[in-house]
Amino acid sequence: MSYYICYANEDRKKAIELQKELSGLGAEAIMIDRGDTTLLIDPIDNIRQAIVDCDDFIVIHSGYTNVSTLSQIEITYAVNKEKDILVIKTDKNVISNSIGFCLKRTPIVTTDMKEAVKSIIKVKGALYNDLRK
Amino acid sequence: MIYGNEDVFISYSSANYNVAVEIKKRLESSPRNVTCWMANDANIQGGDDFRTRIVDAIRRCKIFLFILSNESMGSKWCPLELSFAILENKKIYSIRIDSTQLSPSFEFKLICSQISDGTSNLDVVIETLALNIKNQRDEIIIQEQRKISDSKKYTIGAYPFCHIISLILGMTILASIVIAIAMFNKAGGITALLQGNMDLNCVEISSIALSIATFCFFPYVMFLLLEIWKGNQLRSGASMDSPSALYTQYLIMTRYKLFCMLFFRKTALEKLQKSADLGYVPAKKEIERLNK
Repeated sequence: MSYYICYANEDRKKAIELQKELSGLGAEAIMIDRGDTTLLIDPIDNIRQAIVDCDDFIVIHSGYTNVSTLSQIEITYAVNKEKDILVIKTDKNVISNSIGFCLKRTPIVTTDMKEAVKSIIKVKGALYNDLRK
Repeated sequence: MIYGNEDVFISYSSANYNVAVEIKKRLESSPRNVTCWMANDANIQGGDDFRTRIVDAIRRCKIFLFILSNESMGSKWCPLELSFAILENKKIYSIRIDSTQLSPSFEFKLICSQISDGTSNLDVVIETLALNIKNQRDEIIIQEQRKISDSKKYTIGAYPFCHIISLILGMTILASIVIAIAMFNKAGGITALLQGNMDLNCVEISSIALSIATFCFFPYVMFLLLEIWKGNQLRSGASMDSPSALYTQYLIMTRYKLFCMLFFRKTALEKLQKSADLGYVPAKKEIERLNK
């Protein structure tokens, strides 16, 4: 089972935390670095490929996600590719219309990534059995 | 070289230079003319590092316009410019000028923005696009102005009450101590005290001043601690240059150091991270230093 973690650059720490928690359970959690701020590296093709390859898509949502162009692209693309999208809402900011429009599931609301993983396991029961093997 | 703040960055392949110039002309025409930047000889002089110029221009612009064609998709730099604009959270517009199929990479990058189709009637499409971009530019300017006025509203901090009270108490303590010392000296100072012939009126005033200072000290410390505790609650997006914001930044760093000294390192780091998220420069620098 592999997860793609979608995050705004400012939420990188939370994404790393979530990646650790998921990896600890034996799941593959993919996080793509947003690259540097020069015109030398284009991380976006890697991001697209990672979304295509993953089984499920996790969004770490905060106020930054609402204004991140890349996060919006990632979410829309994941919806187009019919991925199961799980949202972890990590602050009080309301999910913007353009993102909310793409989501079907109710968000998981927590700032604690351990709690978030527990909720993910609850939502995806099959995964839990897979991971326990 | 002095840079302006252009509204639109036009990303194009040199094979589509004429179309790019035409779009620029339409956008810059009155009324509500917008300013455009495109990578050409006028903007990038001989010897300049063109990548730095392009990166700066994308950062400064409000809107990124991509001229989509077979050549721009195959170009080395255009896809990088588009990616960079996405990473910089720019509003993306695109116009397709030939009937080439989008590559998966471009399909991904342009998934959130409607592509204007200029393959049939380029003139009309450019005109409509120019109007849309002008409207969007005006909207972005209004949002920026709103953000500035909001920041002015909140630069005093979320706890202005603590700010004011602790300031008044602090000034009172300072004034009382100065008066007490002055009156003590007027009463004859230590020599008179040892000889027992002090001016009693002055001693009385001095002791009253000292009592006031003592009385004010405890609430002063309380309000100061409260302010230090809640000091990071300045609204996100507030101006970080105002004296009040600078004072708050100073308080945040004091609190962080105090917490670290008292072995509440985890709490201190959490609070510091919050402050850094709000945009406090010293907090950001401290986080960067710790990450290294």
